[in-house]
Amino acid sequence: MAVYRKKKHTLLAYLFFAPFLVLLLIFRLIPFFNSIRMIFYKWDIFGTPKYIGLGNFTRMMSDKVFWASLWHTVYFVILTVPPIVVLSFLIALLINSKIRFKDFLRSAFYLPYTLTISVVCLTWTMLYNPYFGMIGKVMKFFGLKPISWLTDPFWAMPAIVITTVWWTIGFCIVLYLAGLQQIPASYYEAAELDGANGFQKMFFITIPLLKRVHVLVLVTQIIASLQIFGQVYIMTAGGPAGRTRTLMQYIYEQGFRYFRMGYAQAMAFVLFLVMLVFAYLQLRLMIASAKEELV
Amino acid sequence: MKRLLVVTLLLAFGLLALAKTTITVWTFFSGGEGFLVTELIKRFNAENPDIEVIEHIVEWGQLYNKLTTAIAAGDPPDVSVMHLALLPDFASRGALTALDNYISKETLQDYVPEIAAKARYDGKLYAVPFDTHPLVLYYNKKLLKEAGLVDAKGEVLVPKTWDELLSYAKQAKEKLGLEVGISSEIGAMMGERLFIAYYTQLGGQIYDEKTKTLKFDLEKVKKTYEFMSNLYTSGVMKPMTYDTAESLFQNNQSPFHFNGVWVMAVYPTLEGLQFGVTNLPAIAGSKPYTWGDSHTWVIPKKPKDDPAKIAAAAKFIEWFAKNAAEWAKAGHLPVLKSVLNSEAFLGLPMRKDYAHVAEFVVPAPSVKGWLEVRIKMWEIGEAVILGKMTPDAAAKELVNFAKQVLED
Repeated sequence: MAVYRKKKHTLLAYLFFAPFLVLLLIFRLIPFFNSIRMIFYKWDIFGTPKYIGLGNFTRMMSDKVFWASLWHTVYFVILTVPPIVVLSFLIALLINSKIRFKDFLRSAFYLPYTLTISVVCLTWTMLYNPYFGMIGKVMKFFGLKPISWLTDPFWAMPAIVITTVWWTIGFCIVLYLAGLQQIPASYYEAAELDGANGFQKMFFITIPLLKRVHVLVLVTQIIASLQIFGQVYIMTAGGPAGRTRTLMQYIYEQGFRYFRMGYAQAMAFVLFLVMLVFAYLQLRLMIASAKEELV
Repeated sequence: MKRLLVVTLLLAFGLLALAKTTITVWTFFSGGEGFLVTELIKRFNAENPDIEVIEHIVEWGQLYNKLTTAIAAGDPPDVSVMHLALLPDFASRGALTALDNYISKETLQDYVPEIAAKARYDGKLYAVPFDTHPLVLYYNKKLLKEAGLVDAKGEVLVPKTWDELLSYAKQAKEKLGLEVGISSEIGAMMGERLFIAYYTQLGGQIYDEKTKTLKFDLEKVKKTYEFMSNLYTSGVMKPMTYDTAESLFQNNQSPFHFNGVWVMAVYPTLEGLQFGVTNLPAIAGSKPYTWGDSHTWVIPKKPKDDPAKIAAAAKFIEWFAKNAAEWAKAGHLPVLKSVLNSEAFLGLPMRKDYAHVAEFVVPAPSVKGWLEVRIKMWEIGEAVILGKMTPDAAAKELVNFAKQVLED
């Protein structure tokens, strides 16, 4: 009887899963495997795909623009992830402390994250206008020479980084806030009784207890930053002189603009492998810290 | 009885709907341009009760992606807008319907010849162009007067040669303490549009009639890049985005401005901006050739041709081209001679100052792969302007890249 009931339950469970599983299959899994198959083909999207073995990968090896785009992607990750992690942690601490207007601050920092990418990018493009934008005017006020951010080979990438940090930091702040609120107040009270100062409380209680949040924020931000596309596409289209062309931008150009679907998919596959490494790393670290907590 | 009436009515409506051919049209026109297209479509629908044209506005940056996937999926719209420069890349891949049997001879003969030639690929007609939008020169009358750049009658001096333009721009910039003498976006505007204008004026060709392929003249490419580089090293121009360039010109901060004619939909409406528009300057001994692209209508290829639908769609796009004087309010130049010379068009503000530019337009070559080469030109142009590449290296890079794309 019990077995029968269990079976029935399983069946019911799968029935509930079905709508999701069917959609997952049609819109995710089938395209995913098709796309993996296409990495061995030359395909201009209209015609019939032609099998070329590892042709797309040999092309990649000798494609200077591919390597440059890969480097720009890594450069973007290096510039973006550390400030997001550090700033979101500090801002979360600020909001979590006993200061005034903290509800207002929490909403203010989260607000940009609710905006769509085009709104964010167009707003920042206006701010970056060297002669009429706010940033240029402020710099002029302080006697600095305005920078033509988006057409400057050095400053274009930092400009995109600043926009991205401003836009996405709200999400990480919320993650840190949730983590901070889970730390029992009694730990701090006990530490205070033992005579711990603020510095010690921070480094021996807050930071270690937020380990899982650190891992989560770090890895999700690395994975998200590796896929940077919209900001580049809207603000610089990869320019000036290709200095902000990231891998996703290049994949888009090759696939949709120049009709090289196979090549684009081969590059997307490489990006997928890189992200897989980080996803695996996250999984291991999360499991490790969960085990630690059990002990 | 009542039921019977309802059924009859339903049947009648159904038949009426069947008799009407529905044509779906994809456009990326928004704002003022979008309004003009919508009005024209309304007029066509009123004049042709047997056809109903339904417009779908697709976001500007997304249209070609969506069109590509829709054609691949076998479910494209009946008509789509397409830039003439992209035609070879779509036509060569069998993505478009040949229109030779659908467009009347009179209309085809009425076209500005250069544009009509580029609406063909491999001898077949694939597009019905309805405008051309060349690169032109804008000048700020107020600033030029303030800088004393006027003739004996007090009229502002309009540069006829590049040397004149550079000297006027420099004088105005220095006298008035401005950031730049000429404002322009660095990517497409300089790297592709100004490049093609200057290179053609040097006598350079992009298309080789004999081999029927893309071919650049290395020496002339180099000279063009040297000219472009000099515009920036001399301080007359500074690298900037499209928006920045427009904001400088619109706010009386730049005496000269390179841009397409599309801004004529907006600039005349700006208070406090007194400006003029004219053809680009010319190299001594050359005509003022300039870059120009065109908006065209195309009929995407479906898995199965429906001749009745294609005929109805063709009727609409031919009608639209003939009525393009209305569309020209957006600043673009008509490409049918009868429209170009019509009162309706020439009566629009300032059109007489630049209508003649249509004669000097150099359209994109009919070569598969051009769309990749032109975007590479934006990148190389930027590298030259930013001093990251010498004109010599840039010329070699462009020539090699064009070769590579053709071999691919």
